[in-house]
Amino acid sequence: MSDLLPPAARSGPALTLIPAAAHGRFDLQRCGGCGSFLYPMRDACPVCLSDDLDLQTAPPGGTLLSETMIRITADPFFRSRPALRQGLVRADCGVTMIAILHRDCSPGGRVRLALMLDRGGQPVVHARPETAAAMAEDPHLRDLTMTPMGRCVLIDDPHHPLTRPLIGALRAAGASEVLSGLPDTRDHAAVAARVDIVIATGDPAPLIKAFGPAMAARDDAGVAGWVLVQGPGAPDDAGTAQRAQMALQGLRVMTAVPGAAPPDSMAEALVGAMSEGLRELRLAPNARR
Amino acid sequence: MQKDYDGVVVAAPVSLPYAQFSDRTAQGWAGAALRALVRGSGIAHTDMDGLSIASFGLAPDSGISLTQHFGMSVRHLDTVPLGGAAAIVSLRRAARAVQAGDADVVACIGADTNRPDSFRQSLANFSRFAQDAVYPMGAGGANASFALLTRHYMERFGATRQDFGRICLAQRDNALKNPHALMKTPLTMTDYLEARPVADPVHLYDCVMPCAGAEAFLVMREETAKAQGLRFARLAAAIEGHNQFPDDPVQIRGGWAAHVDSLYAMAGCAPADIDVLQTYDDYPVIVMMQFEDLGFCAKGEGPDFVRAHDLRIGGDFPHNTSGGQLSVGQAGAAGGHLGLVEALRQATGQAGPTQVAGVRRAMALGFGMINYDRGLASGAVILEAC
Repeated sequence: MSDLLPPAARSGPALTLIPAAAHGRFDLQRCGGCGSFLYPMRDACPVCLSDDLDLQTAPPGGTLLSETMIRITADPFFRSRPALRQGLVRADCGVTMIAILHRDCSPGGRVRLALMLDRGGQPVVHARPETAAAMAEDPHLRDLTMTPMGRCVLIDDPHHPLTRPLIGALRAAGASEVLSGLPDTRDHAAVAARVDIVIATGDPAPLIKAFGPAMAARDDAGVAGWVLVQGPGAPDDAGTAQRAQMALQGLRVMTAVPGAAPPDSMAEALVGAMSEGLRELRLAPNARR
Repeated sequence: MQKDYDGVVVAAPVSLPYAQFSDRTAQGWAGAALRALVRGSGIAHTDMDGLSIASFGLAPDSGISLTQHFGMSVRHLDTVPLGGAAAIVSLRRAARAVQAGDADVVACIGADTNRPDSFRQSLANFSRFAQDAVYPMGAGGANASFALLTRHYMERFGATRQDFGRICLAQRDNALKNPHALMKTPLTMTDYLEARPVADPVHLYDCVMPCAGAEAFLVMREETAKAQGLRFARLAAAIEGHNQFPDDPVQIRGGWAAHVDSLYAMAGCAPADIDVLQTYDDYPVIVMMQFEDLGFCAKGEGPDFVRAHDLRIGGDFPHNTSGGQLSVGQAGAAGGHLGLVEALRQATGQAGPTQVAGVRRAMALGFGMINYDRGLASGAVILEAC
């Protein structure tokens, strides 16, 4: 098991941001008494002292007030990674946030804020340029997402209807290698040592057995985790137990429920969600590209 | 209208030689400071009826534990978790206690130890907001937090790294006269500018060296000090302020700015009457803010002020005369006590090699507690020579 995880401690209220981050929502506390958005997470509103503080989706725009490049850190996880660009952002909704900055953000410029989950599954704040088309590869974003860019991806079943469109979408997203089908038993170790993402369309148990330990033992930013594609009738909490177990090992678990979406749309949406750091993707029955 | 501190004096300045690392506990350093207070004042610790302690490393103890540990029976007890503002706040509370007769002799101590891992441990769980909303984004600690403030201040007011360097160089020059300073070699502008970056634009010499150590002083009424034959300084004025200016988007001023007029009114003087200044120097940007906030120049004029003045002991604006935390070291929560104790030495003519001539009034400042994105705590005192 990898010990190298980012700082994990969070208060109880901060942990309630995890579902929003998993679904790609920028949700913040909003005071039911006075309407103020609040951040960091609180137990009483500093404006009116109300404790009616539910989460609501907030406008994600903000302006960069200041930034730094953290070159020296006492934390072993961040020490193993390149220097981190950190920003102080004034969010449009009125709060101030400290965010991990994408390298493309311009100093003093406009950003788009996001809640994301770090390698340990804990919530962090990230900021990218507000008007970003295709973003350059960013070392810290690799730790916050399952972006296929530069990674080796294994899809379990070469014959699944999703597999061919997935291979295309993964390659278009810059995957360094895409494998489909389980390797010969004697090649297991070699493949396990370099596979970064496993996409399981069927029962993940044999895959976890084959590749889990090797993936979990890796500290590098390449190894990402698991995408579990569920059947259409999968319950809301599908994958929760597996996610919890794997999160402890620094491996992300993403669950995807295609519903009745056609494979091409699903593949595109799935690769998009992996790049965005989502942990859950549920497509509506009539989803189109 | 704030009441004055008539009759309250400060005496017995104690600064223990710091050590970069120490096996002694925080309690051990506090006990050593208490021993030094007894030696310096001739007052037995069992005759002191007040204790005020500031330390990051006492857990699971607090002040009450120390009363039994050190054999003190007290009427005034204060554990002050305010980091660099603790010294000023300790003094202010002790002052009211002795003024009102709630206590007669209060020992105020700042003490901390330092082990190779203690700094990282204290960063990781400094406050709930830092734990939730700062540390996970890069684990930069205070260096990153102040880097954000420094860059903003530089862009807003035109301060350059050379301006901050002037502060550091002058303090280092002062420190060379202080045998207890941990930094013992001169610092040049080239050294300063070319030092390794820690969190841009903060570089190595913008950062204090965490260390183990202790500082202390006694608070009492004037007649008690006279009866003991102690040199003392009068507490002419004191203010504190916490979470002032919460609507400033980025911190450009400390809490002192909210009540600075009260401070000078109480002391019956103006900024020009301060003969020696000890700022809280966790980072040079905060020093510059203190020059502005305490009225030595206007907001935003810090860079010009630093370019126009000589901050060394023999200069026209003696500042951080023992070298400050940047050159002496920061012994945890005793960081704010360092300046206050040096101000006390200056005002009582006991500063020895770092003594400024003719000190009538000395100012000491405290600041700290980056709970999230700004230093929340602040305090200021003016001591008057007698």
